[in-house]
Amino acid sequence: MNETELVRRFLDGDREAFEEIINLYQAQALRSAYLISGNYADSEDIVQETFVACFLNRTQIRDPEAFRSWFYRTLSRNAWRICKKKRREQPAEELYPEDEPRTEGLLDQVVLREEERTLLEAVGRLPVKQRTVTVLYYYNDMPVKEIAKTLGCLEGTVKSRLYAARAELRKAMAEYERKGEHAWTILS
Amino acid sequence: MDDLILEKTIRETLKKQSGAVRADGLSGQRIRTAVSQRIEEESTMKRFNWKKTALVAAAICVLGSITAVAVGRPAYTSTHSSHNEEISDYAAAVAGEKKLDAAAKSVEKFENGYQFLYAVPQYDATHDEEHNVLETEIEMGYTYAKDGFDTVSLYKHRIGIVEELSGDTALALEDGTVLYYTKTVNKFVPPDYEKTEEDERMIAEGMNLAYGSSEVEVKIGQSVTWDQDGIHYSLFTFEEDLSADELLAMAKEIAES
Repeated sequence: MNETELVRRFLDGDREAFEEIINLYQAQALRSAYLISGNYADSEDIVQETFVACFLNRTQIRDPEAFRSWFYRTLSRNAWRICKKKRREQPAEELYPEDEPRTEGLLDQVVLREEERTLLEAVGRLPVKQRTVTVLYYYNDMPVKEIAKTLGCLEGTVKSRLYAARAELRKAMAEYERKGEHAWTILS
Repeated sequence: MDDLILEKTIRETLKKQSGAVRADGLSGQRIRTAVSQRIEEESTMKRFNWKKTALVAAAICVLGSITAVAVGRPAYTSTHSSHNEEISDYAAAVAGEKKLDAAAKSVEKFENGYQFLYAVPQYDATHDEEHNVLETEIEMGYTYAKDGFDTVSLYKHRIGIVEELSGDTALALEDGTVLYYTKTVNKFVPPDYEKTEEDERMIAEGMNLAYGSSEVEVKIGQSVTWDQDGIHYSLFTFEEDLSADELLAMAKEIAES
């Protein structure tokens, strides 16, 4: 059965179809939420809230083919809401913490090269809406047009957020490279 | 760093870091269980946030009473409603409203995606300083939602006293109707709450103080108010992501419907 048919069954009130949608979406949803929110505990909350909203508001979804966009819009909004609440108490530097307590849902630390760690920290410092666009584009492989539909904004807005995010990341990487060259200069 | 290399590094780093999240049968089961529990809880508690609806009604009520005090005679307004009377069908809400005191304009769906979620009758009363009821009115309060979360509420009542509208921003429509946008700080407090000096200072600066909440809670509200054909309209939201322009555009859709 294809996804559209599955969504149609779910919209008709089939609870088993809803379970199948959870199975189909939860892995990527969890990872996207983790990349947007920056920590695992929040990402589980975001995904749970998204599925609950999905079930409770299914009558608002008129077009089964638009489900994926609807789902990620809801997920993004949940992530923004949680990030906004946390922003006052959690500095950006603490996103994707290397020493995050191990939980059932988090594997042992992924080993990142120093360059990748620098880039990830820069992603964590991006404003949450730029970070969301970056994750949807580079991790979820969504084209600009689909991101615009998902976030309910103009394609131009997506492009400008991507442009600003890339500029920040480029700056962080240039700084990283500059420090590397500086060390080499001293050694020479 | 070359653009292509930067793009490749971003893509690879995010995919690598996402690999830290376990997404197997165990985590899937945990999420399914939590989601099922939440759905059961929500169904028991009624599917929408009734407390939020009550706070919106209280905030609009306070906005109304401030206007009333300015003209002298009435002192404050009060309102109550019951979620047992909730109407989830738009046509039924409009039909029900026609039987009430303040049948007026509304829309089922806005261009920005907000759509009708439910309506509920609001029982309003205007009191004098000695708590005597001067006037009562039943109106239909409409709640609209987008993505199932963000809500905007529409309230209306007959213009019983001369009210002078004002706002931070105004938008004049072709028929002469003027829409006024206002952003307010609302503090909801229990009935026995005693005002502090800080409250007095904040009230002087425009804060609304509303009694009747079970706990002290401060929320930023945005509203657009206007008078049209003998009806006073208030479009209200606690959603901070909604811009003033967007709320004004929604009000314009109702006023021009």
